[in-house]
Amino acid sequence: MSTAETPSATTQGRATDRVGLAVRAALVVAAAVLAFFGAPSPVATVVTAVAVVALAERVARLRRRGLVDTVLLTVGGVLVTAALLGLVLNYLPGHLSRHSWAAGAGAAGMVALAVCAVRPWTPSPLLALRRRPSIITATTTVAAVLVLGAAVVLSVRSFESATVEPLQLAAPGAVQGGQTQVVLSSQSSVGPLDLVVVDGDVTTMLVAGLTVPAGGSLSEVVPVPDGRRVLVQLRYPGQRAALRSLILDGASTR
Amino acid sequence: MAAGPGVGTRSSAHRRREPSGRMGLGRVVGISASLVGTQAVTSVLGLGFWALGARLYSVGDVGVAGAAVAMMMLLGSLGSLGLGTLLIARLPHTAQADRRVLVRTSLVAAFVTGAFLALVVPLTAVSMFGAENLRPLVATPLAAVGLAVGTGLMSLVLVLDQAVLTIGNGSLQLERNVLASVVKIVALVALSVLGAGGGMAIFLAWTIGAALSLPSVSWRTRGGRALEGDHRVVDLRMLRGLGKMAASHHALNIALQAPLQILPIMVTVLLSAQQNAYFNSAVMVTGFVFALPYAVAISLFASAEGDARTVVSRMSRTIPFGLAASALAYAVLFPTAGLILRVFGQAYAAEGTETLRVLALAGVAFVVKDHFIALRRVEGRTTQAVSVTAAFLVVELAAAAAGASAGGTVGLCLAWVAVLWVEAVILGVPLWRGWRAQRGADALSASSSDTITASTTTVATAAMSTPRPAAVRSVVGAAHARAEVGTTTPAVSTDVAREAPSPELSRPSRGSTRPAPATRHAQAPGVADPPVPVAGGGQGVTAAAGQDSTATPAPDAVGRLGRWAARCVEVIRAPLNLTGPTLLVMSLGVLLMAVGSAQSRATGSSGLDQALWVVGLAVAFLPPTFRVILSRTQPLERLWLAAALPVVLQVSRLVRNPTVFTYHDELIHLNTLRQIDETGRLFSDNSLLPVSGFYPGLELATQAVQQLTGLSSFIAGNIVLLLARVVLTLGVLQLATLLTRSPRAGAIAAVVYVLNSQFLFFNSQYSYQTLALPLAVLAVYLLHSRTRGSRTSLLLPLAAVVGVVVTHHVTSLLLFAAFAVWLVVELALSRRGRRPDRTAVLAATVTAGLATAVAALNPGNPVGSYLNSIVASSAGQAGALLGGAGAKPVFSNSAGIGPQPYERVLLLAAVVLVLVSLVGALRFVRTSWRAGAALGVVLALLALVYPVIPGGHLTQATAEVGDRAAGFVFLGTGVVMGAWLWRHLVSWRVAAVVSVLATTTFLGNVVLGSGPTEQQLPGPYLISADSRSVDAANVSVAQWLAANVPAGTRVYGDRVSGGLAAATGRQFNVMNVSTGIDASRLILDPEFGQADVDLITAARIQYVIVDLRLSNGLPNEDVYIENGEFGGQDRTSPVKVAALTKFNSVPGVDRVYDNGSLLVFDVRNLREHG
Repeated sequence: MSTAETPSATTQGRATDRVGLAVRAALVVAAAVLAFFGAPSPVATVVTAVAVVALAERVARLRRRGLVDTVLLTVGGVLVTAALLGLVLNYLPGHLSRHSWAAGAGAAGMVALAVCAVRPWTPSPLLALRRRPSIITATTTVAAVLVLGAAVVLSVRSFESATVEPLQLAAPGAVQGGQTQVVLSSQSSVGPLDLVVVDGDVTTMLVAGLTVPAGGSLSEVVPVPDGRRVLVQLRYPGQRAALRSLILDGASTR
Repeated sequence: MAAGPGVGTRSSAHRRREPSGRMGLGRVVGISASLVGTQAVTSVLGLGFWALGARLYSVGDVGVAGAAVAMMMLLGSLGSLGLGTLLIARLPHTAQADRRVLVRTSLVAAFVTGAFLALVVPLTAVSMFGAENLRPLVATPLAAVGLAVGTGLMSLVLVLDQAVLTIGNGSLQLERNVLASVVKIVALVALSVLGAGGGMAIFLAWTIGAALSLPSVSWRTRGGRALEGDHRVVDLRMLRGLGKMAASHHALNIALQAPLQILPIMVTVLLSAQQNAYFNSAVMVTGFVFALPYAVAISLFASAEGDARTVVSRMSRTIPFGLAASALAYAVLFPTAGLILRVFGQAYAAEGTETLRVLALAGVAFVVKDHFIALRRVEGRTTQAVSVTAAFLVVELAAAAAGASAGGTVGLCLAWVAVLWVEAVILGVPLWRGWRAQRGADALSASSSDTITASTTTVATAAMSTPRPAAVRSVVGAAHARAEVGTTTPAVSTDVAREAPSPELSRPSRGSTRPAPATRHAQAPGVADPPVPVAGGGQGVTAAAGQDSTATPAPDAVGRLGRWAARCVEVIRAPLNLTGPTLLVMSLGVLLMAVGSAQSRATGSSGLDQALWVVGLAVAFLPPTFRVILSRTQPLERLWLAAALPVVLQVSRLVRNPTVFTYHDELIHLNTLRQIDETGRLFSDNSLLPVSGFYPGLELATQAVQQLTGLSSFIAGNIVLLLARVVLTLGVLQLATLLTRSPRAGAIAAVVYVLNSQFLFFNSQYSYQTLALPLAVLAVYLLHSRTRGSRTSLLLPLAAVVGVVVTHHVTSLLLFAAFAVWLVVELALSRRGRRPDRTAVLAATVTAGLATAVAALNPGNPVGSYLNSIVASSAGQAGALLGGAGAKPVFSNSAGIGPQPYERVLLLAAVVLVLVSLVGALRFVRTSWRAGAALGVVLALLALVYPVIPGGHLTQATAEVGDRAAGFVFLGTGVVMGAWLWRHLVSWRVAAVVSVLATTTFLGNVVLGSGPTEQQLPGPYLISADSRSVDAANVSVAQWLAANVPAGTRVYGDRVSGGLAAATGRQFNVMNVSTGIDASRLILDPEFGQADVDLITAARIQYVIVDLRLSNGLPNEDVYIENGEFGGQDRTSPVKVAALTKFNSVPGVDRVYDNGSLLVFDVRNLREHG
């Protein structure tokens, strides 16, 4: 019998465990309530994470199989429970929504705590991690996390700088009354451009020298005579080649 | 025991001298003379052979023969396994009764290894890497077998020539070589007369010479037969435990011999066989010219009797002599080069003169380099010598390749010689400083002569038996080998003792002549304090310093580097907790990957970006692997690192796709997640892959995180993936720990699991298998680790089983199958009297089966037809393959893009290494069976399925099936390898080697599972290339659809834009797999007709999305849209632009969106009005 499981330690542990169960119950309720009412994400995330870890660890330690088993069961148990709980919620009134998830997770948590309360007390294997790491280990681990974070940040920035929405020309609406609206948008500033309409051999300049602002959009009304099929083109000034082109049919019933 | 040989007293030193005393200085001189004679005679005869060959055969034939001989020499050296050097050391300490058996066993091992290498390497070079110039070597089965036999014989004679120095005498070697040389000349003439043509005929003559020389040795040593103790012909057990000892010397020998053996092959491959004929002739001449000065220099070394101080002091004579001889030879050779080459023919003189003149310049550099190597070997600093030589070898070959591309054969020689000269300058510094320090220490040298190892003389001389340059390069290593096994140099002996396995783990083989560890330990106390735990090249020096400080060379650049490296190694070897530093190194590896990705993302990957990516992966993988494998690593550190490695690799995924899910499967599950979010219901109709909607475990876990925290689906999804990765890693770790009762084995298993080809990409993506696999492992673990006898103990594993079934169809089926096999094994074991666990396993099997059936019977679930189509497709293509058709290119995808040569090497190495590990799996089956461990049997059987993975790549359909099996198969591989490595005490050297091999396997398997590095990196748009096809252009279309078209509208697009339209654009993308309608002709058929209108009407398509970039090339993922698409059968050219733009001219069809790359056509008018 280890020191942690001597009779006195067990008695003391049970007393502490009652407090621990109460704290865990409070955390579970708090997390459920915050989720139910749609609390701000940072707050809900922190509280939910703490509640889930505290609850799952308490349940997992019942197996008394050491640190790795507890971590494995804690994480695995959360995933399995989420999948099975979702399956159950699907068949309950309210189905899958923020409210049903909050209520269901809260209820499941309380049931789990109730099971823990009636099972023999077990010391947490996570206590094995209490030993303070050396300064080198602590420093380098923090540095490792920071470097990983830097790698992700670098990637995010590079992704954002490389992923630029192109110049778009679209006619989202229907042709009504012989005209429709076209929309130009782009993530980077583009211009000057000419917007022209080509109807057979006739080319009509609608707007000359327009500039699409970065991240913004412009909309223009384009005439589409009934029964005619016209091209709406964006061109660089003085050029005949179209940069973007739409084909709109005046006979279309869309 | 303490008075055994090796104790550092003068009297014992005299006793140590006894073996060499028997041989005497006269014999040393005799052997040296014999070696010089051998070298000279064989060089002359060799010159004659090649000159005759050049006269009898064409230049091309001579070039082919030269390449074949170079290949034979290289592979023969590799195949000799260092056994020759080892025999010299071992035979004197082997009982007379066992000597011939040991020699025969070594010869057989060398022959088989050499022949095997010669069968595999040229075939691989030709068939896999397109080395067409080497094709004549394996053009016919006869040629391939001939090359194998010849190479096997070369391995054999390399070993034999060294062995005869111990079992016979020096003249025996001379006789054999002369006989072989004469016979091959006779054979060459005979073959020519008989009309045998081609380069391989010349090679055959060489082989005949080697083969017919063997009986003479047997005859000349026949007297030893009477001393044989039994009638064993060979006994492989005698070779047990010799590997480590032979390895370092063999490595050094190989590194030294490699350049002159690889260069002819390089010339053949990079230039032509004809050029190699000229090059080979020049090499022959240089070898002949420099044979004498080299041999004399080495003889002088040999007379130093292995004492470093003597070697250093005599350098003042040998180096100038060598340099003078080389310079003189060059002075003679320069004007006469053309004349000499005329011996081969006029063409050789015309083409090879410049080459010979440049090559001959290498002589001076060799003198310095060989002195450096010899000194290091005598000092026992072999490891440092290997490191230095190997590093220079890489530079030499790289320079030679660059030179060849820039200036042909002469350019190659110039670049190679230039590097050799730089080496000479660098290596000359420690020689110079050592000699200078020696002068100042002359007064002390006399008192330190106890450390002389007389046997070194014999061995050093013996190693000269191989032809130059092999002779020069294997010389004193033999002496070192003798010191290691034997009884002479305490410094080395203590080192060996330190690296030996613990007594309880070491298993002395029967008949082994290896000294007991205790004997070797006993040498240390009288000599010096217990050895300071330094490593590598430094250890010999450190230990030697305990005897005589003057034996330590003066400080120098290389020496400082060596000591610095030794200190680093010391830190690594010490039982410190390096968790934090290792994590930091791993994260730096990820940072390197991030830098490579960032640069590649905008403009496409350059060589530097790819290098950063690969190096980053290696840096993230190798250090933790090394620490986990190392025996002395603290358990907690091992645990942390084993768990951290997979998690860090999961995080590295964010480096590639930091803000969005982009893989095709990820789009599918994002679509399911979106549908659940929007409807609040499960089992939605996912248009991208209907079956995925019926297995929503992943989406449910994600939704739980999302709804409870308010995080985005991307972040919530990544949290789930990270948690799944933790479960998978710890699950494998715990399973292996349970089966082996060793946490170390568990940690190793977790690391080995990382090697699977799907680990880095496929099994880390947002896809149902990524979660189901960890849950399956969890279920197995919970079942196996449950408390026996408890009624509730089955609840957790059965809940996990249901979790698997909710998440993924194939995983649940495989889990069911695994439980069934487990049950069968349990039943079989119960008949053997083992305690069965069949009730619980039966319960798990039944639960898995029932739950899988219930899920499959869920109304609307198309899993049956879905899996049936996969099985039918795979079976069909596999059948076609067996019938000789249907094979796909092994090294390229459907767009013709394949891995680079170095990636192919990694890939092949990975496959070979894993295949080798299957031997361990077979043993694990046996041991688990005997131990009654049913789960162990099941996992080992799983590991044996591995050949399916690389084998699957032979057809398109089976490639995907094979790849996806990797995640399951490596569960077994991990456990097997963990158990195997756990049984061995792993020193830092072994851990380093295993880590490097594991890293090679890891990198190779990444290529196997995810394609070339170029495509692993992010970058500009590629056609139908999974995540590389998702870019701002097609995402913009999806976002436009989401904003402007009602959700659920039926649209049609290609594989990528259609997927995005569904997942991001909230539309119903019409696909054959979801609607049974193949509408691909809308995009892929250049003609517009009634068939298109009918399709649009039948599928109720309202918008067609067209990516104009599809016409730029073939798809990378087999199809533009989906299997069975229009024109997809044997497609050889890209889709036509006319097909992509045909709706421009269709009345009633509006082109409502254009972003330069993608168009959206509104086809509602066609649907409604035809």
